Amino acid sequence: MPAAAADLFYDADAGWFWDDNVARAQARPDILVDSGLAAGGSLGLVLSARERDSFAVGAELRTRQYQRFHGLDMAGLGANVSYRMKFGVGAYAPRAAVSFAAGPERYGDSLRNGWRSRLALELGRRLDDRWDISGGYSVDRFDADNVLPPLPRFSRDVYSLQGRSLFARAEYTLSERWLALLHLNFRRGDVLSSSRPGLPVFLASTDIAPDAAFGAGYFAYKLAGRTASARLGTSYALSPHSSLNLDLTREVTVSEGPLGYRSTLGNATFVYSY
Amino acid sequence: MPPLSTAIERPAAGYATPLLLAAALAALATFALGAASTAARAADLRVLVKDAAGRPVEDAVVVAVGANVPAAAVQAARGNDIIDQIDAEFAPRVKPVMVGSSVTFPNKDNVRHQVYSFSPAKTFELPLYAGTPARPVLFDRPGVVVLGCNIHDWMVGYVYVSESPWFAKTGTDGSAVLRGLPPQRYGVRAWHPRLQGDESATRQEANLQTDLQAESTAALSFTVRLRPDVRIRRAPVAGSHSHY
Repeated sequence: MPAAAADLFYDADAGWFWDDNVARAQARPDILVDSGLAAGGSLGLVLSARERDSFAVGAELRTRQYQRFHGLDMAGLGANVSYRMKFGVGAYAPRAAVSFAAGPERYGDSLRNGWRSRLALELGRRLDDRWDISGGYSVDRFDADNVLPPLPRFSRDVYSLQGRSLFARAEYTLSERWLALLHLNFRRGDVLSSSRPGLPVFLASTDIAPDAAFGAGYFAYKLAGRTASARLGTSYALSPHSSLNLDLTREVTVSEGPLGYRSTLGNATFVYSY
Repeated sequence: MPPLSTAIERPAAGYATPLLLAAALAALATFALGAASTAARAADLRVLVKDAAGRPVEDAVVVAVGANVPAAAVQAARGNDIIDQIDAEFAPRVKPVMVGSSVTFPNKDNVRHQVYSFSPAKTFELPLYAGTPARPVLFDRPGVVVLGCNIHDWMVGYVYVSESPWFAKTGTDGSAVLRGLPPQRYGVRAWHPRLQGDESATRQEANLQTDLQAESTAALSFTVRLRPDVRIRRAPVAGSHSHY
């Protein structure tokens, strides 16, 4: 008989990040580097209906504080629900998960405030004690709270973005404590690029607004683009419940014509989970 | 065959009676001493298991197999054992039991577990549960039974089902003592979850009839080759949150 109790889980993370193109600018003079601290935590309940599946609900708190550009400082609150199922018994049984998360985000630059939501479908399988692979499809959306009134011929709802992604993940256990990971993501949808005014980006963008986060003279442009990103990282288990993680993400975005940008993000994160 | 009392009652000569009595007493004493000697020589076998680098190997199971297996030894070794689940791990992680023993799997966590095994020696699945399952699991075939939890993939445990009543598990110092072995020849072997190759390749002979001339404890040493300790990762990975 299935038990009716709920299992509690919680986790927390804190770390340092570095971003070599925080504005997602296209031209070298507009490229800005920043770093900062990030932290988050979540709490939830797993409600298992049967042996092969589970339903979880949770809440999440997240913050990012930048060293230079405080307009990007963010605090977010989110709620999430997920349904997971296993196609069989055992560690190597294929699995599937559907998850939805949504919540408000507040920024140093209030024009960036809004609601972020994400719906994801993921399929995965552990191949052996070393390899775990998964992949899926997700839809993301950000709805800005404070939209400047439109000007003739163009909208200024620049921070409202949506996109669709295909993603794949592979994790490889190197030893008792070390793990290596590769996450690939291919996204198609709206992208935000901030730079000083320029004709090509002006013509290609659908929405434009001043971007106070990077100072006077910077404008935020919403473009349709395709982004490919690869995250390569390693994780060191400090204990069964905690780890130290280092990763590097290379992101390449291509928009119309010659427009596009590249960025590299680095993270050093401590994670605790129970 | 005439009864012994009859033979005693029919002496061949007058002085034969005390001689016969003395002989009977001597025989009785020899038998008694022999029995006492046998009981005293029910010996212990101390085993040390090391890896190829000479480090002590913890959680190795050592089994001694002899031709003569007293029913009392089987009775003593067979029983009801317990493997707890504490902090989403099996405790103990390795449990040797005698074939025919039962094991209960109490869940001492505040999350539920679903213990299972696909091993040929015992295939079973306990439905998702909290607390102690009503029925223990009977291990009625010798072999290694690998345990898992369908909820927590990193959980792995081992029930070593021994065909012999003489077995023990090594501690952190790599040693184990098999107690109360009757004097006879034994084939002794060692097993470990990460053992490279077949368990039978570790087999050694121990002759407790001759090895115990002076002491009641014999000693054996095993050097085993182990695979790297790679298990399903439990510690969290940044950006890969997974709750079941």
